[in-house]
Amino acid sequence: MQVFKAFLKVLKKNSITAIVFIGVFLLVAVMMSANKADVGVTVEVRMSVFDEDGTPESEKLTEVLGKKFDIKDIRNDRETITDMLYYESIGYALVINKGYSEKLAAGETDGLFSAYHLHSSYEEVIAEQVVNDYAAAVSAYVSAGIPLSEAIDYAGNDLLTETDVTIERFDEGSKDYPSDFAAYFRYLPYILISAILSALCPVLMIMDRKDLRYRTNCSSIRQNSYTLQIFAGGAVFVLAVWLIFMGVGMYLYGGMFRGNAWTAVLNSALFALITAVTAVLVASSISTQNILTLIVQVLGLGSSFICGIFVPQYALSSGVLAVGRFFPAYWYVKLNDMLCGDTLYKSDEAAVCLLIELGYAAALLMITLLIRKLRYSGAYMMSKA
Amino acid sequence: MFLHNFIYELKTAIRTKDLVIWLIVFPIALGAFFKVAFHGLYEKETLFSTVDVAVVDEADDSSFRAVADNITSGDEPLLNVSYADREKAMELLKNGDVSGVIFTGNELSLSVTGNGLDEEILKTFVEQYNFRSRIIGKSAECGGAEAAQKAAEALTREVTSVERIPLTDGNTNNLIQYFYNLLGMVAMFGSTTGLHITKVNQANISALGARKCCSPTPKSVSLAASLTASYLIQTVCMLLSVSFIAFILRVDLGSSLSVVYFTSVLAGTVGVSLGFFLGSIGALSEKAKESISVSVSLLLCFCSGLMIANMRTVFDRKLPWFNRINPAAVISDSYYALNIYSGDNSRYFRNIITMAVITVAFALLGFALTRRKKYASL
Repeated sequence: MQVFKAFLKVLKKNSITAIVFIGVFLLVAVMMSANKADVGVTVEVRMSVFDEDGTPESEKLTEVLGKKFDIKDIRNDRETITDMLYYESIGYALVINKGYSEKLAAGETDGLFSAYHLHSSYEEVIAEQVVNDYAAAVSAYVSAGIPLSEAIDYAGNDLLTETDVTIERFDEGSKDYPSDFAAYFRYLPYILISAILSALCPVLMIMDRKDLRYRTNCSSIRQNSYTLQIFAGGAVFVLAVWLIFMGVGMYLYGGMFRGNAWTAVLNSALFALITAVTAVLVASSISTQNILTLIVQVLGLGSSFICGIFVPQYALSSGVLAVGRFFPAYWYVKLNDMLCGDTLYKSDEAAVCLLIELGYAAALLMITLLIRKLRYSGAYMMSKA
Repeated sequence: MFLHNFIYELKTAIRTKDLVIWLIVFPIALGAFFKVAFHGLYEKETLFSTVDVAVVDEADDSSFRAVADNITSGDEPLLNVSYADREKAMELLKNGDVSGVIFTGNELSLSVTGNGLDEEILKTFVEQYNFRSRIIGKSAECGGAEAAQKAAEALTREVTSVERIPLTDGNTNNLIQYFYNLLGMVAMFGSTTGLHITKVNQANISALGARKCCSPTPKSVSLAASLTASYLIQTVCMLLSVSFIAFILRVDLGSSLSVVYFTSVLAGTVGVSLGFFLGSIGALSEKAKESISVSVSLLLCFCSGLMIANMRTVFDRKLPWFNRINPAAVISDSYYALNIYSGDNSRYFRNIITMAVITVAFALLGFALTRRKKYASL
């Protein structure tokens, strides 16, 4: 186990690099999952209301809209409103125009409101429909001879009467693995790729330095034994990193994992294994830190965008997903989405995802062994010297 | 002396092929990934598109069918309705072919599988339908048949109570911000070239650094030449990145390209200065400094929204001052301001001034920290 011991010594010497990367990515992972509510899929209309009329009638409308939608209190200046609409922190910005109550009493509906417009989003369509409905209802009641104050009350009550909506659940996938917590595991492939490759590859590259390799090639140790000891060293490091991330996951989960969460843990363990093998493969193929940074960033960020880590898989086009299928992260995210109930859970498909990930690990291992056998054989190295 | 050093620094930097390749290949590779991933995403996720729905019309409700026919006509109808029996409709819902199932009856009811925006559109439609019949009923209760008739007539009138105020003439596709952040990241990763300056000038890191420390050339001249050469290399990388994104990927960066080029050049200097400063701190090994530089750059890019676009607004709400000093956020905000606030340049100028101040401050700090490092002190 000389190589294994040497690996651990080199790792210890490069511990600052590893600690910096793991610390930073741990911070990023926690920030990503902590802000799920702010950055996740929108489930209700978020709007701001600016009341320029300031009458009991306009206040009543603001109150009704507040009960129906998520009202965000923001500064009434054009720059703030533009930023909020552009970054989708709100979906609609309504202004109740001056003279609103007078027009309403006269049964008029034109020009009651203004709305800042950036693009025709879903939230704009919904909110505008509701505001128009409210104006139409008050106008209809007033036309029917009902006094304005009562018409406003009736219209408000009608608007707030909930319709009979049944949420169909075709599976029980998300019981022990809520979607909010699943965000932590969803972002994990990016974190694992970035943290493990950035921290482990420099150590592996030192182990593969020419002077060290010349000495090793002269020794009695077999190439496969050398590579397997390197894998073992890498595996110990990856296991430690994975356990740290699982520990943080348990803290965010609020205790020991239950039910489907264990499958998510298994999923992440398989992905960590793939990342470990990838790290050995990458380190065996390159020789400089700058190229390593390039590969880590392109692999980490690129696969995250096309496999559904940063953008949900349902939102990606079929062409993008067709490309994404070639990356293990795609199968990881697909299973994660099934486990938390974002997509329909099918046990056979879940098993397929796990098997494909295992297949990736095996295939990458074979390729790595082959590359290392070719690249680090004595004859090859001498020819390159 | 400066010119002599500058030329040799430039030659050395160009010969550090992996560094230059990394700075050029990185935006090309990641930009291509972005282009593929975001193809059609804005139209699909942000802009409204017709919602697919199944209708189980067991009550054979002719008035509903009339409303449904009306709402499904036009260029971009609100709904795309398929009539089906209960079993078939639920199958469509289960397979995700429709976003919901509407059941007719005394009042409409709705079945959905989630609570996204498609479902919210369906809920609004069903509520609107039920809402109108309730208004007529209540008017009849209060004022008899005549009142109900008047209310029904009023409800047939088309209501357009909202006047839209357009906010910008720029490109409103908010996925462009990922490209702004990509350019920000390329600029921030210019810190690796900045770091290279300290590597070749610090005696305990490289043999070249050791020789330079012994040479009679004043350290300030040598550092200034290195820094200028790095600015130039980074400028070329930034210009190539913008050209690739604008002309090859054909991404509409949303404003005058010459100003985008100018912004990118300045952004590049921010990254180099940051790397120069980070490299000058302490006497850590090359690898430790590289890891700190990459981590800091990545963290700043994450906070400006490279991975998750809304992170910028999260910081705007929780730590607004941070976005004003985070170089990555300032860089991406400059492109954003150019695009969205094309008529009012005050925000853009504020960002440009911030970038210039950051560049000068980091460069001066780098000089101050490096010039004290004599061979003996390391």
